[in-house]
Amino acid sequence: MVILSLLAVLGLNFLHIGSEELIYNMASLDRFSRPFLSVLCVLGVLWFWGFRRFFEEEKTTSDYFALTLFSFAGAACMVSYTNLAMLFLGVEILSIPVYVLVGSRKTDVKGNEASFKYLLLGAFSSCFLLFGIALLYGATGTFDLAELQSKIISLTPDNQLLLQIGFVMTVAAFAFKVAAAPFHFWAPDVYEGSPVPVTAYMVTVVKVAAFAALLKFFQAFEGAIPQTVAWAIYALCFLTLMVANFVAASQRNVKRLMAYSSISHTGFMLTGIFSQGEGAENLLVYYSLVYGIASLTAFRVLWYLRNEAADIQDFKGLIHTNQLAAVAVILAMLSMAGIPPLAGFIAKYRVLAAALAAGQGWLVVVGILASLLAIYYYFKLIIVMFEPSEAAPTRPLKMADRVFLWVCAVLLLGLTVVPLV
Amino acid sequence: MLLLPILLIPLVTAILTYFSGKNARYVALGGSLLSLAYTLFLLYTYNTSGQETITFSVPWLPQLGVSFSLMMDGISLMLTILSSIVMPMVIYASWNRDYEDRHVLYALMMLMDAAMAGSFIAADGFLFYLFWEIALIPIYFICLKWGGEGRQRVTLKFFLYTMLGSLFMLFAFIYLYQHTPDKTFALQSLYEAGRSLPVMEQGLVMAGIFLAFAIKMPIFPFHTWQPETYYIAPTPGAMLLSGIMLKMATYGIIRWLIPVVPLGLKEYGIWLIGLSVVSILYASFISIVQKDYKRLIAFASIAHVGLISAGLLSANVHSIQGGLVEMLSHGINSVGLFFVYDIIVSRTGTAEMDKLGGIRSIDPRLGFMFLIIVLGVVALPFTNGFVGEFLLILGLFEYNQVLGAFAGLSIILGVVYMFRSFQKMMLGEVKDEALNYKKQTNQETMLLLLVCVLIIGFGVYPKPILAISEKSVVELLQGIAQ
Repeated sequence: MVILSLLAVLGLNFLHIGSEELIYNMASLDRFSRPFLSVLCVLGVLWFWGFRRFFEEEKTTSDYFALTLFSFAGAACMVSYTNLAMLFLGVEILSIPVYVLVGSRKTDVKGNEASFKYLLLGAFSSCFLLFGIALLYGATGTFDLAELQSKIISLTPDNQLLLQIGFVMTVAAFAFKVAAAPFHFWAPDVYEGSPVPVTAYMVTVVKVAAFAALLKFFQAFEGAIPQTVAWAIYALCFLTLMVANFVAASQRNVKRLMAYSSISHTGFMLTGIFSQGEGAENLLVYYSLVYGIASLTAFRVLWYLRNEAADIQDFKGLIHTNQLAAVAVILAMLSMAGIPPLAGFIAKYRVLAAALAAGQGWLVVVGILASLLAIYYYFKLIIVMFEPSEAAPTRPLKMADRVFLWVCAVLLLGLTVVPLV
Repeated sequence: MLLLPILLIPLVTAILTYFSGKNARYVALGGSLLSLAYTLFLLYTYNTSGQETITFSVPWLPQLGVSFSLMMDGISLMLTILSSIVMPMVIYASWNRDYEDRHVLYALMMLMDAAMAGSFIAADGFLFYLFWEIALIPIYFICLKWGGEGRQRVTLKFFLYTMLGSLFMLFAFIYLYQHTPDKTFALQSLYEAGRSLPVMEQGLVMAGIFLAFAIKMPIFPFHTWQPETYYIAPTPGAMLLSGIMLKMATYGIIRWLIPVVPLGLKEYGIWLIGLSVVSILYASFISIVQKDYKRLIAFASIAHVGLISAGLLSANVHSIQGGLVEMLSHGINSVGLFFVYDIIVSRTGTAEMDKLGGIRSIDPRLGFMFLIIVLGVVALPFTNGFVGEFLLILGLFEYNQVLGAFAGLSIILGVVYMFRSFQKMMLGEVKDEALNYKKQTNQETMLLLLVCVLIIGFGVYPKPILAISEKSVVELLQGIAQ
């Protein structure tokens, strides 16, 4: 395990080399994919570190290891694809192990339900993706993203239509993967049913990979998106922001709450990348790094408190029983709520500034309202932690886990002071 | 470089305090005194160098047009002096009170001090917003952990309400930022951008920024969070809220509102001033019928801040100078008033004025010192309150005589509610709750004495205080006139 983590770190260092590299015209390591790969590696290392006991608890350790790493490889494909076929491969390599991982608690009814639901809807979205890619191929005669981009301008009206339908279909498939409303219905159930580490994996690595792929896809169509489709996507952002935050405000189950919170972040990321388009890499890299770290922190503490479906009351009095865990959660919540001086604020700010620069002032107002709503439910959790509790002090955290929480907390504060990207 | 210690001293003290366990109060007091000494040193430097603005700037988030810029002129210096005088007093006020996890409490207080000091010297709109928000986090947790009954609901309302206001301010700043020629948040660029806007847009920007300040001060009808929050806040928290924190908003009016939208202010400012005057009268009347002493102070604070706000918005030398002095006095007086509350509650367990009475006959020293504080609050000549309120009302009168006259009523109404509270608690028969009343300790006497000395000292000889900010205020107003 440790060796694998180290390998990931090593890979990270290696990826920092600024060279460009094309792999059989299918994928490329360039200025776009390297930063995302680095983010994935950071999140991956943190995930392996924080949730290493997940593998110890389960009987079939090696299987889960292999599955996680397979899926990680899929994520790497997704951020570096240059060919739509490669994109599809990446999505599948990423998803299929996760279907299994979601159902890894074989005796748990909810887990099985979640796994099955995820599999069905995932297959459904794969269909959309394939269909979309096929239509794009029909319109342009190529799978290659760069070639496709150059052919967009000189299309006959018929092919234009094909292209647009293909584009919408593909975006819909992505919307499934990143859980944007109204394609989000699977997310709360699946997140709730899976074991906490798997949920943490899904809301960080899987989502970041999907977003990186989506951004690359958007960038290829820069300037060729008709007005109506653009409005549809803005409506998607609006819906995601509103639905997620309104529903989250009434949740009492922490896992569901985090699921809706994750959907609301989807809304923000989508807003950011769609309104900026060209040059949105930095924004997305920063946002996903910050969001990923905050999520991992929250899920780590949640896992420490309870493995099953967790009620908000499980956090009661945490500040008295385990101060470090409580402070880490507070920082994570403040960061996700976008409150300065935490890194989440800068991330959200960049998104809203991008939307304003794109002339979408109304979306900024929606974003601000959504943030306020978000404060309400994140703070619900914080307030519970300050309530007096009669429960006996929970078992102490291991040293490595304490260091993990420290590192996350420092990163959440430090990324504001020294924003790397 | 001269300005960094203003932030670093409290910040380092906060960390040290957290790790110093039982000795936390000594460390915190030491740190805050060091901070005070440094501020006095800055005052000395500032005066000997011919009152030249001290600046500091390093790039921070270049792609967002944000730099870490600080500046200190006479106006900022006044506020820095305020916060560094009030801070040790707040810490000393809680010296012998029994708070759980004291080291955390003091660390949070010092953290808040750093943020507030930062907001007073920030020379970048984004940075100002950051400090403004950061200051909210410690006080939220102070109230949440050490607050009274119903704190969960009240503090959340407080947080959401203030956050809502500040987001409007941020929105206005971003709007200005988009109109800056060089795409930065730097103070001067925002000034330029704001002044280049047409009147109507200036008015909208002004509304956005003022909303944030109106909630923070607070001004009627945005005040509903305040009495509740003061009521549940632990005494040091309440002192910080009314002593220093609301001055972030009044300072903001001088630095981030008046010079940014001069035309808008000229055109629509009368509405904001009218609202402030309504706020004065409303809060004064409510104050008169309060049964609880702490709620009374809370509403009295709204009334006083309303006067400061109305005066500042009338934007002339008299009123701004008066506003600055009044901020200083209000900070000191608030500490005095809340400390008297703390003393009485620690003996009797209640601050309901009907249940109290005759405390003066048991503890004449407290009665005497409370009287001086009350006189300072009602702005009797030769107290610090007088200088500020006189100048404020004078300035407001120059702007608009009717509004000036109504604002002048605040002094009379102030006498009514303050004297009523004094009468009920200090004079008359000794009631049951006050029977076993213990006289005040030396520590308590020391602090009250300090407050009284400052009240009378500033009242008798306000000239050096006024001299600190005069040049900067004149320059600021000249900048607008152009």
